[in-house]
Amino acid sequence: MRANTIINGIILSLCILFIAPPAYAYLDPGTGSAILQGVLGGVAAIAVILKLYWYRILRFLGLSKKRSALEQKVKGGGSEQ
Amino acid sequence: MTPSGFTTSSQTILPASFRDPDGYLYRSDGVLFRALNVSYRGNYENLINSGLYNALTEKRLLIPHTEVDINKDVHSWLTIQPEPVTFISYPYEWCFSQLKDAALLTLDIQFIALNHGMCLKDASAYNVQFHQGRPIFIDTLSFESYVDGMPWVAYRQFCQHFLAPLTLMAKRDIRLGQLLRNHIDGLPLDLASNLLPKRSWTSVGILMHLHMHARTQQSFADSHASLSKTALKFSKVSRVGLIGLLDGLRKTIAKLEWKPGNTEWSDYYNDTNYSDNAFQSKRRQIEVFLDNAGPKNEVWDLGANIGLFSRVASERGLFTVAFDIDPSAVEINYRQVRKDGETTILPLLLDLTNPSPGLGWNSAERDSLFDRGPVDCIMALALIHHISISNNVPFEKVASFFAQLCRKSLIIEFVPKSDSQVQRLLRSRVDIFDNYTRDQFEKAFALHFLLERAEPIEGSDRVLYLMRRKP
Repeated sequence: MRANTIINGIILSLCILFIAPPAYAYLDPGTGSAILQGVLGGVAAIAVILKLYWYRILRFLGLSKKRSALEQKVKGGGSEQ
Repeated sequence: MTPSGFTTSSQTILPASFRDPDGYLYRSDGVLFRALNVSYRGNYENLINSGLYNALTEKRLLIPHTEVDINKDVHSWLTIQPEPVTFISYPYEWCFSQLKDAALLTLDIQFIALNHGMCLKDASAYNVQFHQGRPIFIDTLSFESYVDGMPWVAYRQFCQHFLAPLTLMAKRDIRLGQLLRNHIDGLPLDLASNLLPKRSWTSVGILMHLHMHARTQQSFADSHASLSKTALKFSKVSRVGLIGLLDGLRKTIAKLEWKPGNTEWSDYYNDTNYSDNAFQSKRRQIEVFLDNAGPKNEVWDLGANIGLFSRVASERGLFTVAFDIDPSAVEINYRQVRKDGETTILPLLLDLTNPSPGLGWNSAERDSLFDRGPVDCIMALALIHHISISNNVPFEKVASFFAQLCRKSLIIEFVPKSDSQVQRLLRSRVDIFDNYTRDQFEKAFALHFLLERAEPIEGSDRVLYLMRRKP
């Protein structure tokens, strides 16, 4: 079901990319940006989760010690909290 | 509610401060205050209690403030006094790296805010100022509570204020940054998309956040309510997704590079006729003049190039704004400020023959250059020939212009026709400048200034003057 949404999102974005009407309309600048974030956010979420697992594996194998910057952003800063 | 520009006794509301219902800025007896309305109470308490305020001010990312009093005004709930920024500057006056650093600052603040359960509600470049050499966020009212699933409401504004101009400056032409003067809410994304070279489509970040972004805006701009509703189902963003998106956006901005050089003035000090001695002698003379010029709060170095002589003032602890018309010069100057951690010098872009005007609503939202002066001391070194010869401005007009900007003293260098730089300017044109003589120069400036000292510069025909503004 999640994959379906992603695929729909990708198809939607491809359509948007190649079929763009001229911008002389009475503009609502918010909707487009929000939708784009939905699409990009969905893809990004998967990418981030995969990266986090990858860093976990690296730490488990002893190949990396510190928390990466990405983990700090997602899980919370080390020193501030 | 935001009062609209009334003045009570000595209080004046800032003309730019009217769009945010959560509060407004005002000056009382010259001191800057921010009044918070009751509507901001929840978010303000969150800002403090979540530790976000401390986290940001510790790293000098957000301007610190002190709570002044609980205002008894029925609309205003609390008044705070932010640390004052010495000189207010605007994105169209920044060089490439200044704008880029402001963009990265905004995103970094957003990451830290998300870690504390909060979020930026706007991402305007006007929320950033340069303070003690570094970019700092000044809009304390910009934080709101984060709700998981909510898309970032400031995403479009961030792309318009930062991503679009930076990409155009890096990939098309550095001068496109000046479009920010016309588009004071950032560059329209479709405009930026149209102006970028086809190569930019190969960068994933630029493709997504700029080209695709422009097209989604156009596609949904005129859409039916029902289409909007179905489409809005797509706009939920998880926290992890948002962080991923912002991370990608940050990487895209960080990757944008621009090399200074290949502009008119970048090789200035290699092509000029300064012997080492002449250089040192000029430096020493400026030091003497600065010491003689009396008490000063601020120095403006006009036509500062990379700030070689601006630093004579700034290294004495005088806050110096180093203005120049050339983006390369300002860029090189700023990179040095950043590298050496200098806190008393601010490089900015400025065309003296077309200085920043008042912009925005009522032409008063963004101050003109004149509104931000006058200052105690102006330096105008190796400048007069560019204004009077290249730009045909008579000495009287230049003198009157400097008199408007200057409160006390003017350090100015007269560059005679015999100088090789002037010869260069006259090479390809008819010499119509019969009045361009030292005598005429002194006469014109004597209308507004007392000519206190005149010292020839060793190894050249130039003369350095110390002038005192006539009251």
